Amino acid sequence: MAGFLDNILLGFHISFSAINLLYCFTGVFIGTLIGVLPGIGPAGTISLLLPITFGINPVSAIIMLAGIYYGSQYGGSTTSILVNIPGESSSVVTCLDGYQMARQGRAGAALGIAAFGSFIAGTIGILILMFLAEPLSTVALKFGPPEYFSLMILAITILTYLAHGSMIKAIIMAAFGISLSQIGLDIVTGQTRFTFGIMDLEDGVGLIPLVMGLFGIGEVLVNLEESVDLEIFKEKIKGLLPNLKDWMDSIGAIIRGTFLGFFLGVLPGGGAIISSFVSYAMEKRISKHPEKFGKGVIEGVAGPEAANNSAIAGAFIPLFTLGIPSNAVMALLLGALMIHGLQPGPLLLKQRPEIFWGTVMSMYIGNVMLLILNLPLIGLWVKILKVPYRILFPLILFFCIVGSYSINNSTFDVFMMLIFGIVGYLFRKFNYEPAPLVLAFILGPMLENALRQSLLISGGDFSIFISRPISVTSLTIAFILLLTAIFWKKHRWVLARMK
Amino acid sequence: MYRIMKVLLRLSLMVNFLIPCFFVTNGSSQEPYPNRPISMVCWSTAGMMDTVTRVICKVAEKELGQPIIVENKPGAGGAIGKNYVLKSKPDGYTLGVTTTGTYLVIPHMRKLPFDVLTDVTDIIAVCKYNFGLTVKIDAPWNSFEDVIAYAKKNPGKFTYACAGVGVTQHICMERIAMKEGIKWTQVPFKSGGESVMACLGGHTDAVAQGSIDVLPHIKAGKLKMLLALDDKRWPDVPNVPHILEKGYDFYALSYISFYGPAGISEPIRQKLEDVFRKAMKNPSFIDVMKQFQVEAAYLSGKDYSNFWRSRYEEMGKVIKALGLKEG
Repeated sequence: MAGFLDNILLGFHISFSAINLLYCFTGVFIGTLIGVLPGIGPAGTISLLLPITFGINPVSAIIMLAGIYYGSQYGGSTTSILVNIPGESSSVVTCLDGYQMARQGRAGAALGIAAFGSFIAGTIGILILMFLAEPLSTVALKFGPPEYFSLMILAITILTYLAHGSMIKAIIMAAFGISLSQIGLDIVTGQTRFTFGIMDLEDGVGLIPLVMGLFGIGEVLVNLEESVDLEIFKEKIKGLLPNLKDWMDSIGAIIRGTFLGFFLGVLPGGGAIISSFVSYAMEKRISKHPEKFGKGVIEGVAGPEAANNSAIAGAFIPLFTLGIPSNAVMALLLGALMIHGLQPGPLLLKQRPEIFWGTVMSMYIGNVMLLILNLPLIGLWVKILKVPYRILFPLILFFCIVGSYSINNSTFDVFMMLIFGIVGYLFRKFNYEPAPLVLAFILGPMLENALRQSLLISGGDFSIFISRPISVTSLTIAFILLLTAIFWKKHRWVLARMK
Repeated sequence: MYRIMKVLLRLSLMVNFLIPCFFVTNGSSQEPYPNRPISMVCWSTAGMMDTVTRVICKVAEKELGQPIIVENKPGAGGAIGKNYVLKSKPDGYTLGVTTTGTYLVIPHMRKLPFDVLTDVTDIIAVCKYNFGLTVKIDAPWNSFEDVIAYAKKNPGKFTYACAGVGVTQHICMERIAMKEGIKWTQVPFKSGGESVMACLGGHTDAVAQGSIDVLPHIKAGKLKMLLALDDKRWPDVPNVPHILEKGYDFYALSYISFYGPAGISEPIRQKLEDVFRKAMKNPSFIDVMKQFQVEAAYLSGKDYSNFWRSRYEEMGKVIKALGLKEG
């Protein structure tokens, strides 16, 4: 225990130095900025800023880069709520209820609960990181392809809860999402699928152009169909911060989202996006008023926003304990550590504890800075909603186009985004919801890869999925959830008939 | 009177600004190379190739007197970035960095919009990857022979994790299998990290990856390496033999190299080669190489070009035999 306290003190000592405070602030500031701007994300920004870190010491570099990463999760929800454009792919779910809240004049409450939820989740996440890093990394190692497969099956069953309209349409969307996800290179044979000879499609349809098109551009097109003079946000802005009722509704969602997000974040490939979707679905499932989801329910913002922030804390675990990055941003941090002469791996914690503890403690500081940064900005963001739509929508389009180009310096992505914008518009007109499509699009490849890798490992034997404890548990839970959903519906239908 | 003066003044100012425009040329024809920033296209966004490139370019740009801007254009296993460079003007201002796989493997796997045999100017090769076959520390195999014996008795059961299909280490492992007449199963993952985790977690029997991925775990005592897939032993793991010692006549070979489109004039190409060669001697580059546990390996443009061209046909046959050719 004494050693542990020593480490914490060491961490605080490092993170409170003036220079590291400055780096922390720079990181979270840049992070918030790129989180708000749709398109370029933390991965792209960090790779641009990597050369700057060459000259500074490793802890400061990691503090700044980590700040960019979790800062972006704070900023990402801003455009989701204001204009239905996900600033980050992990903020897609926030569009569902956050934007509706904005249309009802409650943008301030949505933005506020997103900021507070992120702060609480981030803080708790860091606590878990501090105490449970090693044991959790052992758990993460137990997740091989069969476990991933079963987890994805569980996630897909939850997918059905995302729909608030017709279930059939949601399933159609999910099927479409899975089909879209097939485009690209096959992981096992390396052959191209459905690319029609277009090289840019060999990596598949990009997620960011897809969501920016479906949600953002689609929304703009739908709004334009009505008069351009329309004031989209008719309602008077009702207060800038969440009120007591909002807090009481959200606190449960925040806590649940935190733990869910953290554990999903530890698994490589899991991460912030899936945690936000699963949190939303969970909140809807256990809510007393599920039919209100999709129309502006604050839990639908609080839970996912908490989940995506704690997922970031979780993602640091494989990096620091095993030296294995769980996503593209972590891979960049790994590269940054290496450039500074450090070898990430199981030995890093023992040989250079100050890297881990300095970073972890500065994450606390970063979270506080972000809260202080973001709260006053809410007033500013809310004013943007008052700008007449005829001025706002060209700006939205402009940012979307620049944003989608900035991901890969590719005009193909812009083109994709515009196509999906039209598709999103059509979906809206015919009442199809994009959320199940997006989740299926993300889960599809993971599911397929896990399935094929598992079968390669087992030599074609399907029993591998039920012979392993974690895998069989996930599948059982999925099965139970499916059964209860069917019986629930049947039960309610019977009850309704009886009345 | 004053109004005329004002107008004349304005006119003369405008003319003053316009005159220099007539003397602007497009630079490359009149002044020595380089006279404007150079763009270096890198097709991976994170990881060794990107880092190595940035380090070398940072040093090289001082020598050249012009900034070298590293642009990331990922996608299609490097084909998108390569296509962009090969279709650009061969004036020495658009360059690229790539690995041997994009010369020897991908062209045989699927149809590309460029032809590596005719469209490329090789400038210099700067370093090599090291690959190793590793298993968990408590695995029942203690030598490469143990693994081969096991695979002979249990065809298809031995699994090894690898980041990608058709990558250098995968091809090497399959060539071993072809030579020994055994069958083992490759399980592809999306990244080196995932591959190592699969092995550490006991989900696959082994992992065949580069030193950046496996060396930290070997040093931490979690993995043991059974065979180095290179032409020499690893300095940090001197007890493990390398593949040539075992009597094979091939090894997993992948260089990181700089290139440009065909048609770059020889003086410009030579100048770039000299500048990058000098950058390789810079301590910052050497430090990074040490960190990545990767060998700095210089090959002149001409030598590297001969090197991969001499292996092109043979690789084509190997890819076909492995069933990786599309169509």
